[in-house]
Amino acid sequence: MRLRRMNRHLARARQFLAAAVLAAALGWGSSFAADGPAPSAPPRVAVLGAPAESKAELTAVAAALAPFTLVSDAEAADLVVVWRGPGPQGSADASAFARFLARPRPLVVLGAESTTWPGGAAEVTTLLGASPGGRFAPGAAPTVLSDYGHPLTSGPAEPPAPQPLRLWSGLTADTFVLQEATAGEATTPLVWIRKGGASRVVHLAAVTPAILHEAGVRRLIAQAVWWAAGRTVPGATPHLQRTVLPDAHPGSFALTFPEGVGVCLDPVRGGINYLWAGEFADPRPRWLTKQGAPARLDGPVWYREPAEPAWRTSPGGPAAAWRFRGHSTRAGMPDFHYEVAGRTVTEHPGATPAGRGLERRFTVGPGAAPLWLRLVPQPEVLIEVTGARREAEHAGFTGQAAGEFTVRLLRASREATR
Amino acid sequence: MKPLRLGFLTLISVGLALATAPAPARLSGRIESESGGPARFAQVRVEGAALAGRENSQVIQRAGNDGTFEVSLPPGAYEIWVTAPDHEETTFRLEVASGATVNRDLRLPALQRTPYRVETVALPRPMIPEVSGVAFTPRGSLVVTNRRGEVWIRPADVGRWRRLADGLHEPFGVVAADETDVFVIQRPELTRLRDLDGDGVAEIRTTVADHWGITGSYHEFSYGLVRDRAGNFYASSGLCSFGRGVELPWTRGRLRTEQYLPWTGPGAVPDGHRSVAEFQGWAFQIATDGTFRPYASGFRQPLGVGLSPDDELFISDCAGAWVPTSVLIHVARGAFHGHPDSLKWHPELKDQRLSAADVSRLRRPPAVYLPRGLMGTSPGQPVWDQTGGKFGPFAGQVFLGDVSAVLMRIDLEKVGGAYQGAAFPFLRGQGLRMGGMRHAFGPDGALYLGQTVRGWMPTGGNEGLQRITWDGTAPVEILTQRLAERGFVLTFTVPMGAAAAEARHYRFKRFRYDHHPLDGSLRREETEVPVTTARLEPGGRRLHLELAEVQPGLVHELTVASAVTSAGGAPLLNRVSYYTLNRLADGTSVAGPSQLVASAETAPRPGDPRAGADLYRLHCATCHGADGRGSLAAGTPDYTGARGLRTRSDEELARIVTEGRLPEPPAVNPMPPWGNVLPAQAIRDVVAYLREAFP
Repeated sequence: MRLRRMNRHLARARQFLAAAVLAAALGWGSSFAADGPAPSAPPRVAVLGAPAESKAELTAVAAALAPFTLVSDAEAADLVVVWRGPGPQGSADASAFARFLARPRPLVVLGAESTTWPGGAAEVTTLLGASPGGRFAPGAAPTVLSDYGHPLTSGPAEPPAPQPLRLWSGLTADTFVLQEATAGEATTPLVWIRKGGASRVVHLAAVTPAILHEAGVRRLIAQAVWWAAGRTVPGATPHLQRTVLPDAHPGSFALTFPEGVGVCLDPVRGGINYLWAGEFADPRPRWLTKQGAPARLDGPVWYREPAEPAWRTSPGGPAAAWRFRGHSTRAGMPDFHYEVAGRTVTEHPGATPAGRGLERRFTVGPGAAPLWLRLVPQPEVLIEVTGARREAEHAGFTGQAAGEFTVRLLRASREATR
Repeated sequence: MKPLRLGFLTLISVGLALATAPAPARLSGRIESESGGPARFAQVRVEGAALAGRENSQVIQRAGNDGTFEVSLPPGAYEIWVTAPDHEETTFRLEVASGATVNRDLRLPALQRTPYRVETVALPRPMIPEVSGVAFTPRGSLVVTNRRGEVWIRPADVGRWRRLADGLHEPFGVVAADETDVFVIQRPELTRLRDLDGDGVAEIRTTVADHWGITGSYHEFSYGLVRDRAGNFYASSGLCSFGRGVELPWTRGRLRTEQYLPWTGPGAVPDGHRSVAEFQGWAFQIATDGTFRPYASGFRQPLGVGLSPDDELFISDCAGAWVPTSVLIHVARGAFHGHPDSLKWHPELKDQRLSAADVSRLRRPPAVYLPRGLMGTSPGQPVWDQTGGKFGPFAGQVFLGDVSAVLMRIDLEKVGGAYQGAAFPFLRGQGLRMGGMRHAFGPDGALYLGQTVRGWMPTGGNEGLQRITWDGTAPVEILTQRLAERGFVLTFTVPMGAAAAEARHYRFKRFRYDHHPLDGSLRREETEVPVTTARLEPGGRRLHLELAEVQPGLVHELTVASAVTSAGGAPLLNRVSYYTLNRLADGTSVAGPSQLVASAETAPRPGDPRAGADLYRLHCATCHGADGRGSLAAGTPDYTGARGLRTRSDEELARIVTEGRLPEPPAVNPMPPWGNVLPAQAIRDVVAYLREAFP
């Protein structure tokens, strides 16, 4: 009886939600291309949730999902948001959820409770890559709330972590923790993701009914949906962290764009060591232990340069005198400043639309020395140079007056970086 | 066949290694507060010669929430410190045999009232409290860095933290010109952060200098940061832990992996710290325009960089190879301070291949030794009390934190043209957390301690930012200890009682350290130095102590009896000092003939076989067998056989125990040197036991 009442309640709530967000969704619904969603278009989202004890919770979830088109049929959705759990075995939502999972699609889970999943804790563990429960400084509140700089969590000043924390442990190797709580030596994850092609998974573990109304939490939910759907998180800016990266001099920059372009910029060799398909370099391996390990990239490398110096005084000639002079930020976008063969050079890197690649715009100061930047042609990578001479594996800025040139490194296939 | 044979040999080797490892002893217990219940965040720190191979030669174990702890130790003698926030420290000595189980329950008393109060400064929740730099702006805003690469500022007028910058690579020092202009030493460079639009976030990050090498080793740090009145910055680079995470293909700058002075002793190199990349083990000066000047060499882990009020550079270094115990060094431009590996980058000496003796002659000795144990293990940044009396009566003196919850005070004087002086404990435990690496006096006269311990010890209850304030009442302390022609002159912070005038209440011991490639040095030639007279001046504040002998080149340990109190009967807060006597007033730095040393050396005590038996059981029996028959697994010889020990003289046996030796068939393993673990008398005792037990 109770189950039937709950399902009725949930169905009513969902109708209410659909109506509430319809108007907001209409504006975006028309932007879907015939052959699939445009990269910036909001995804169609279905909400599954149980137990829906109050309208307020689902209303709050719906409010967070206002930028998206809510659909009632999970099968028609690009993405499903699960509030706590899809419901027990045999429930309508559980069946819908099973059908949704039949083909790989993104999933955002808010505050999973294993008791409300058809397969219980085992299913939760399989889907989310972590097991409910764990140890976390019994009775202690977290003293530190860490955010590791992923576009999904950008914005709010402090990660939400209502007490008592729901604890998770045993994260699988393919997960990336984006936010975590610390008390003494104990940590517990608050937000983590898994990336597996189209089936991205986000778990906002700390989202509880008590904080659903908070603007920061709603923003986090919306951003989770944007990211899980493979879209660029609106308003997110590039993130920069100097650390030890694989195949790079220590102190290299992990520059990650929310469009899904990761850049390893090496200030010792003066170039880009590689680009990877992702928006996150996980610094935890470096930070959480004494000896540490290089930061972990969240996607495959698709462009790579050799270890030799990037700037030359002639094509294939000797390395140009090089100094790294620092970097600056304008409206969230970084500029890097160099001195190459006595000339000032400022690089303005940016992700190309849809995250297909990286555009490197160089502003060069006046000087006598010609500057040649090493390029490394490789399969599946398009290299476009404008404003400079292109000679095989180099782009040359040979004028003595100040000027600009641009190098674009793009994945050759039409497939976006994501 | 080959893989099979290799596999078999590997198995045998592993088996041998396991067989030769002594069975560890187990120390366990429960740490409770005297007021009842477990003492929260209690921890046990164990030091002893048998831990020489461990990181920092110590073991630190956090007690559980129920107060229980368990430590596994090799057999040996240990000094054990037990601390917990808001409790007094407890120490005890313990000797454990192989496989022993010792249970020790402890009750920590609540903190006694002292004129100094330790408070925790609240940090913003999104900031991991691995505080690696502390500074104040001229207007009094507090600036801190953390090891995850953030810079936070608490403006004096607002009082709320905001993040000025993030994304830096392990900053370890900060100087704040003002609230919008901050300099940070991060691992790869000295960086200037500027917030030009005043929005609280630095949008400009200028690389001021990045001329030193880095490899990626986890144990590779750029330390600092101070700035002199001319605008020059001073920083330092530690040796890297070679072989652990070193990314050699990605070393910045030139790379030299060989040792400057190759290890010729038995077994593996005792200390893996090495200057692999350019200027590791150097202090450097960086001018405002970025001009980089290598300034001085010979450092191991120059953790703390400080400037005196007269802009003289001082650096603290950590015990290890070529650094006998932790030290505070007065750094002179061009000087060499002890660790030879940094000489690889010396413009004149890099290819000269100096001998160990040359290196020791070249070394400029530290101003002050900080003897291991009471004075901590890894000292942080030295800061001078320039508060004008807001921090008590110690104006002009140096304060120096340590990774092991110790705050030291140092009274320097210039003798014979060089700095030397006395080191005193100031606070031990007493609410201090571990990890005291970076310090700054605030405009409120309080001493701020930035603490970070990542990986070296438990983080819970350690790490963060603390503030030490003075309540205005006079602490009962030895204020200064200065060298006199025949001894020392002590001044006290308050008038002292009559007992202070009695010579019998003062005990001096002196000792020296070895400058050698082993991991730290034991006290050598430790000798009692009788106090012949004590004269307390009228007023009770100034005390003249004459010693039987005053010799340079030795550390003088003073212990004051508890009978010595203030005129009002209050006990001294700290009763021990260590005066590093490098030079006499006339500049003499070489010890002359000594009656005291001569008596000790010409009349060594004969070996005591009973004491030797205990030492044999603790240190030798695991490999050599309690019955002296040796072990096939350990590859040790049979003392009871035909050759036995009879073919060796006592002197030869003592030399083998002291220096170790390569294996002589049928033995297969080298004998490790015990000279750095056991005092000479103990080795005589062991030899006496060998003679008695295996005639």
